Amino acid sequence: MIAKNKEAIFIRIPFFFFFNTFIFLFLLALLIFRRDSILFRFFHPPIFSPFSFSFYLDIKIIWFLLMIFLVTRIVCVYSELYIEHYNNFKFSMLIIGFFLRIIFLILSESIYSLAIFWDYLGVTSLCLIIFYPNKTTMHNSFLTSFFNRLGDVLIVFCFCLLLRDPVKSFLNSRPSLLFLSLIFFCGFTKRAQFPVSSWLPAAMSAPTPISAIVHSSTLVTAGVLIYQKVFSSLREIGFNYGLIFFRRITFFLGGLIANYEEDLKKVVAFSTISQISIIVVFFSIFLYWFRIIHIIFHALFKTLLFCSVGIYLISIFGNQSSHTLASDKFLNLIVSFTLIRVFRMRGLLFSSSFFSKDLILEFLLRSNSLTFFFLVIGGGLLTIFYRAKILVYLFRFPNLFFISSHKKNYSFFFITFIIIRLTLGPYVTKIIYSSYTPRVSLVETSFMLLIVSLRFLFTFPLSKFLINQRIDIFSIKSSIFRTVSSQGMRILALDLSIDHIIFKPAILITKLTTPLKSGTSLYWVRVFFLLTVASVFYSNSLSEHSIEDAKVKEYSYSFNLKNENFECLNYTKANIVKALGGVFLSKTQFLLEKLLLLG
Amino acid sequence: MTSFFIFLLSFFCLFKPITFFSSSYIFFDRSLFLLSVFFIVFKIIKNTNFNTLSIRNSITHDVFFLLVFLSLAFCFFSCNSLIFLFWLEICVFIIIFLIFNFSKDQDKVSSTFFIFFLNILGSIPFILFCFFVDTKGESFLCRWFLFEGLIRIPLIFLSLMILLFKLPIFFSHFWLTKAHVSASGPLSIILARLMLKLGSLGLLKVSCFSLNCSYFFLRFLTSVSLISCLFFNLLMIFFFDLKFLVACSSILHISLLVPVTISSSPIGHLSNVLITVGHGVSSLILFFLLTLLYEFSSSRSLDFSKCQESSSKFLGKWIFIFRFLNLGIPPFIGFLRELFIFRVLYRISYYYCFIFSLAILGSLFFTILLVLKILFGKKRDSGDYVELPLLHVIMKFRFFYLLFFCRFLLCFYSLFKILLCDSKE
Repeated sequence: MIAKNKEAIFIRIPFFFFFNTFIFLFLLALLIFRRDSILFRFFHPPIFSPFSFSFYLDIKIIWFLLMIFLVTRIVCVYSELYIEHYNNFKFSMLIIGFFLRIIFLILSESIYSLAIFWDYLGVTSLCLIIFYPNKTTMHNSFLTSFFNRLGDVLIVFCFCLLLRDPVKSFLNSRPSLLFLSLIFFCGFTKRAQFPVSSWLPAAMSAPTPISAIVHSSTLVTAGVLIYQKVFSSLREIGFNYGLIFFRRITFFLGGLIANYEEDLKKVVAFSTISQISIIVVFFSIFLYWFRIIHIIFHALFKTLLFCSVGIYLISIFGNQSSHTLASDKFLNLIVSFTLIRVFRMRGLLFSSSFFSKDLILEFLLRSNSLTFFFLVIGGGLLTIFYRAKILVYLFRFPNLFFISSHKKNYSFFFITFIIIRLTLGPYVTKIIYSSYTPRVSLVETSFMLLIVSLRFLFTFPLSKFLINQRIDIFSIKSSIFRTVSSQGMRILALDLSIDHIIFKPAILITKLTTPLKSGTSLYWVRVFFLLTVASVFYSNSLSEHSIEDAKVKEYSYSFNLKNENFECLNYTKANIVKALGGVFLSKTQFLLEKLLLLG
Repeated sequence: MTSFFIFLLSFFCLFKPITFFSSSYIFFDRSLFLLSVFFIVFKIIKNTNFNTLSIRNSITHDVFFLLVFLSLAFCFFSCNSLIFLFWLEICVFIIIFLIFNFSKDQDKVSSTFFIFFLNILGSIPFILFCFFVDTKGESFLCRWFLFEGLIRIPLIFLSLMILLFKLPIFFSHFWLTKAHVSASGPLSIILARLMLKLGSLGLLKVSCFSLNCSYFFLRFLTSVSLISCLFFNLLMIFFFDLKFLVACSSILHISLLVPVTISSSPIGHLSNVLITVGHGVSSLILFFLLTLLYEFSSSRSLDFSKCQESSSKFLGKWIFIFRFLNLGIPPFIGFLRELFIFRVLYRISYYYCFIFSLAILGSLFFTILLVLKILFGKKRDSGDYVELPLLHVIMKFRFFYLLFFCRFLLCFYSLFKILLCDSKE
């Protein structure tokens, strides 16, 4: 039901407010055309003090702003469909408030303004969770505000240290260990890392569009932003060693708990927890553009995932427990389509997040200790498991007691989604290229566009297959409703055969855990991939050599540096090429080497 | 009537302002700002008639209320420690009288006893202090006549006990909670806003003595205050009387004044001002809102007063805002207060910083509990509960904005002062 009463105004105004995103950002980029960056300074004291209230605008920050504008725009459109229109004023005011605060946090250069908007984010997140005031939301708001407060307290402590030595507030100075460690742990709270991650699934009691903005892309990137502002000017590799433990454990735990969770939104929350622990890897690799781009893509995927999950929740009146979930053939065709695509963006060849994600996974798998190795492998597996879980739940054929929602016009929502997906991918990869190489050839971009468009051909039949096979596969009498069924794993093998050519360990372990008959066709597909994977593993263990010419240009705020110590980029793509062979995959090598080389 | 009081206040301005030892850092006379509450309080008295007995309509109540105000004013503007004590005791006796005669509480006798006893316990050593310490002109300049040797330090702190009682240290805070519960709304406003500040003011005046003192008392008092913070954070979850809760929160914030002022640093001085003024503003408005609630719902319990988001948005909104300002939202005073307390505690010992951070974390519990319980809940049937008459509220609405704005201004003002003075030690 599109809002036709008076309350509609309050929903549509934000949409039109955020309508001109690209225009706004284009204008901002024009501002920066002549200069490299702009710095606004309100209340800049003459003496060294941390109380300066200043904002900074750079081309890199414009990318973050792009993400947020897009996300809010999508969610405004979505909320017009989703929300019951009785208190739209409050809703829209909260969204606008949150939007402004996150923008000012991104723009802020000084720690004082960052602390201000950090605190305000905590308060607004509380207000957003209490949008539906009942007992569970109150408890959950309590949890979230507690962990946010922890971060606030640590920031205040940092301020205290800055008061003591005011010279530290400048970029060139070297902060003390206490200061760095405080900010290190401060990021944990907002980002939901291992010790302080329980607030994010609790925050799923907020309405779905709000969780789509807040808990997917913006609030959790605040934890990343604070790292960026403090640690970007430093070249410490010890930072990585501190993060390893927490990063990998969150990656594993997120997947583990998502596998057993019955509430769909919480599954998505745990997936965010695990994926954001991956984003932090980029701080140790010192690749700035990859960082931004991966964050952007992850944000978009997550919002769209939340939205599509929410559409299913409408049919059961917002009840988040998945036992009563059901799907309708005609309504949810498009939604399933989008869902599958959203999942596959996570690592599909030549999709947006392929380059960043693959690099990260390679980096994560490089370790001397076996425990961490298996944690990463396990985490990777578990990502597949919870993806399958969601798909299984959503394609479950309805029982007799199916209640269908009134028809809603989702077309506009999906059109925006599709446009964004089509345009962003190649454009962004082009930007990646242009930052590392001065020129980009048309052939490569057209090739990428081809692959992107070919994806649709893969996904559409798959979804059709899933929906048509629904009745036979997921019968009511089967005893495995709650876990991933064996037949689901068969479907996943199909999925994997198209997507995860490079996701080696998952393929190994799927073979180990599922029973198979040798006569089926999928068996041979799986055997083929296992052989390739085994060869890759074997070749990796034997010969590890680094790409010696790999140097990356890193643009910091104020000065260029050349990073010479790149142990992390001992990259073994060459071995994959040898194993699998073919022109198709040599192209990947070519492109990746181009990414990593200087122009 | 109001014009008369304006005249009185302006008359008080002619007195010389108090000069402290480090007076070059502050010229903002907070006492006037704090005393300006009287208009609001008098308006409240005229309009509220539920808190007190029906005898309230007598003239004695108004007269004694005036006398409270006058005595407090003289207390604030006193330059001599003896006069300070004199007017302080008068104020205390008047408050005792008011509570004893004009309050509906069952425990008013015990509350009056507590106030009386603690006052007497602390005032006698203070008299000794006044006589032994030579005062000259404007300030509490000291000459050590008989305080020679090792006995000096404990004697000073014991003689200044009254200030520590007035500024409630943990083990002597009982009078405040009982007084707030027993007193009427406007009286509790005056208690919170002015009486507690006397202790802080007195401490500032005598903070010069702490220069020569050891760290023992400093550390002892810091630990006591931090323990009080942690204790009250946990305690306030269990109680349901709104006034009691607000009183405990005020104790929590003000007990941190002690280590800050005794550390005898310019940041300590400034944070003293910030804490007192900030607490004054927030406590005023909170108590005002609670009196409104009490008037129109005839109960002060947390479980009864709920659903203010839908029944009276005014209350819900402002309670929400001011509880969160108490917590410490950055551009306002709470943030600076916490910051400077951190700074001072770090100077003493950095272990205290961690404990204080725990206290700040815990302060979230009761604020959110209070806010959520008041804002949300099922709306009652409109039988006993009467909606707020809007005229009554609009009259005071402007004051809220003024005070809010003043609080906001004060933070910038304090920043300005910080920048001008050297913030290092």
